[in-house]
Amino acid sequence: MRILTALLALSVLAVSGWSAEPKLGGRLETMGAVNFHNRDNANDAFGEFRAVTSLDFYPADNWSVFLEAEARTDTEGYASGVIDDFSENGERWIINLREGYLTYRKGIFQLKAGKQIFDWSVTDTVSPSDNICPRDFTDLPEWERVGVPALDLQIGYETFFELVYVPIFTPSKLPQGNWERELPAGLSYGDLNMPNHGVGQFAACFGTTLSGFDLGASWYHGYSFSPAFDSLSLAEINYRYNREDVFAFSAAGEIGYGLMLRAEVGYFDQENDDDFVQYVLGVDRIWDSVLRPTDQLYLLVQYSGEIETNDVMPDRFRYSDFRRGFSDAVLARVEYTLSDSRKWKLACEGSYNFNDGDSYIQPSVAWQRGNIEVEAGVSIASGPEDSFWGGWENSDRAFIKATYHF
Amino acid sequence: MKMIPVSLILAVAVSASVFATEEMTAEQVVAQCYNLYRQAQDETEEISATVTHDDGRKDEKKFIRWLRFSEDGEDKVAIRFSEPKLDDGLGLLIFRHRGGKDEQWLRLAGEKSVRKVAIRDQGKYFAGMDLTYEDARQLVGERTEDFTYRFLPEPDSSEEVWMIEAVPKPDTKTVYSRRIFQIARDTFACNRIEYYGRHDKVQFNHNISFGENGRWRTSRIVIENSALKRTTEMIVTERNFDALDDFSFTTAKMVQGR
Repeated sequence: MRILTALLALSVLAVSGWSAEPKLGGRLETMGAVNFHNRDNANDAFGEFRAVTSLDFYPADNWSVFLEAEARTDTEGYASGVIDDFSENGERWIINLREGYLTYRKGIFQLKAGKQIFDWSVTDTVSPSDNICPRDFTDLPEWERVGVPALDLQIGYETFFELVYVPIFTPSKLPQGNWERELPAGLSYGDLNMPNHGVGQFAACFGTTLSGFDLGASWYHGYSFSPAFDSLSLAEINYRYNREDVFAFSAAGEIGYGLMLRAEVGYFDQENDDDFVQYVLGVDRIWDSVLRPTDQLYLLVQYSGEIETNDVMPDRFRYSDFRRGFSDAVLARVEYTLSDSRKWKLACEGSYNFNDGDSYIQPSVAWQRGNIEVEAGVSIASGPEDSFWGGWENSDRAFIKATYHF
Repeated sequence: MKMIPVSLILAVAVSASVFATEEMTAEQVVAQCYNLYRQAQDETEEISATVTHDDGRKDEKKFIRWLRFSEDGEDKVAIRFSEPKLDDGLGLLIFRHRGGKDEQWLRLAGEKSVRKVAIRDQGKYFAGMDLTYEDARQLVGERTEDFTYRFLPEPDSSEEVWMIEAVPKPDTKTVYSRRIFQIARDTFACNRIEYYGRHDKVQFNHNISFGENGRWRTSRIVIENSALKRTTEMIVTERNFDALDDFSFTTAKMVQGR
């Protein structure tokens, strides 16, 4: 399997012309960061380089292929090894196939087979509907979804039904180095128990548009993408991935005055863990020509809450679950773009948890010209030690990123 | 798929020359202009655009525009950028609803999902060009019931062209306080549109060609935006008619590929 994955990945990196008008593109990313606090498990400075290349082509009528590979390296050694398996494990690899799937489409039917990234979210950051893909939390603020081997059948257009089968469990990649969560004195990380694959994971989604609103209903039957507390042994905390069923609903539509409403609610029925209802409700809006012609102000505010219906987990370990860090929280993002040519952009995003008084804020400035983007900013987390963001209070940093698109 | 009856197409084509010689209202002229423009079920345009700024800086862009003309006014528009590479994958999907609020979805470059966006932000320029979100919808077909039209007398109008002013009716939501169409008397092709409102601009339709059914198309559009001191030139490099299926106008299509 690894040889197959390697061939697929290298073919994407190497091919520049193939079949009928293949489309090749990608980006080169560099990132540098300086940490504000001395931490035992991280250097004071961090640097990373990443190349992502994608190829899509149409070998025959109704058929298409999409491949996306990456090569990355960093000063902390987060990425190691040579090549990943088709199904990823919990480590980052230097060369990886992010996605690789074949699509067949006929009329209202579309079938995709291969490694894919799914995003069923309507809201931002917290999304009860978005459970299929594990996450790469290695560098927490830069988290992203990880592709899973899957079969995906979609029937319909504006009103559609989608069925996904993921035969193999793929774990998330947990925070490392500067973003490894600090534990209370005397405690350390123990084992992370992987589930056996069982019968795999299923997800189904129904979507439609009604009176200007996009409505969705989904069901997920599989493993949580976030590990949860398992047990304490010899001052070590052990974790495991729990089986769960998630029933979720989503809605997005304009409610007047240019305000977009986005909302999701989901019921999480977990094995050996808390059951809870998670909901997210928010609005966003764009104003243009505010201070000067073609400038743009974007504001997003969302509230995330949770109702626990079955309390199994000790509260102090609840925050090891990344999905539940925002149980009574407001999340916001504001962006000001100086012109529609987007040369300069000021942005600030953050969240505040009312329950524990912990918060995260990330102001940044971005510059873009041609196919180059540069962004610089700072990340600041604060809060009590036993709160969600408080666990990263010593992870504050300044960063700069440069991306070249080709 | 909604089909435009052949008989209707023929009737519209034949009537074009007849109407031209009879007394017509300004609204009828504009309606006829767009009737002839819409003589197709769907259309694909590959477009190269150059935005020239006041300081000489140029932004080069490439995008594809897919259009679905519907007899009942439920038109659909999909746009997807391939250049600059920074915008590769940037897309917009628009559903027009006659008598109801239009809908639109935006896909940002590099994103795996599509985001529904407010229709109220119609005055915003899209992708750094001089086309607004409203233009992206309105240029597919004028909704004549939303505006009041009148002929502008000579010297604006002449023996070759009508000059027609369009002013929005009180309930019509538009960023333009008025527009002035220049329409050729012999072909009903629109040569020029002046836009007045928050940002004044003039659109010139060059290299106009005609199909057998009187359908007119421009292959070079120049928009001079005096307020922003920049010009957008769009060249249609390839155009095809009646070759699309319903999938072309779906959010699933928007996220296909990169």
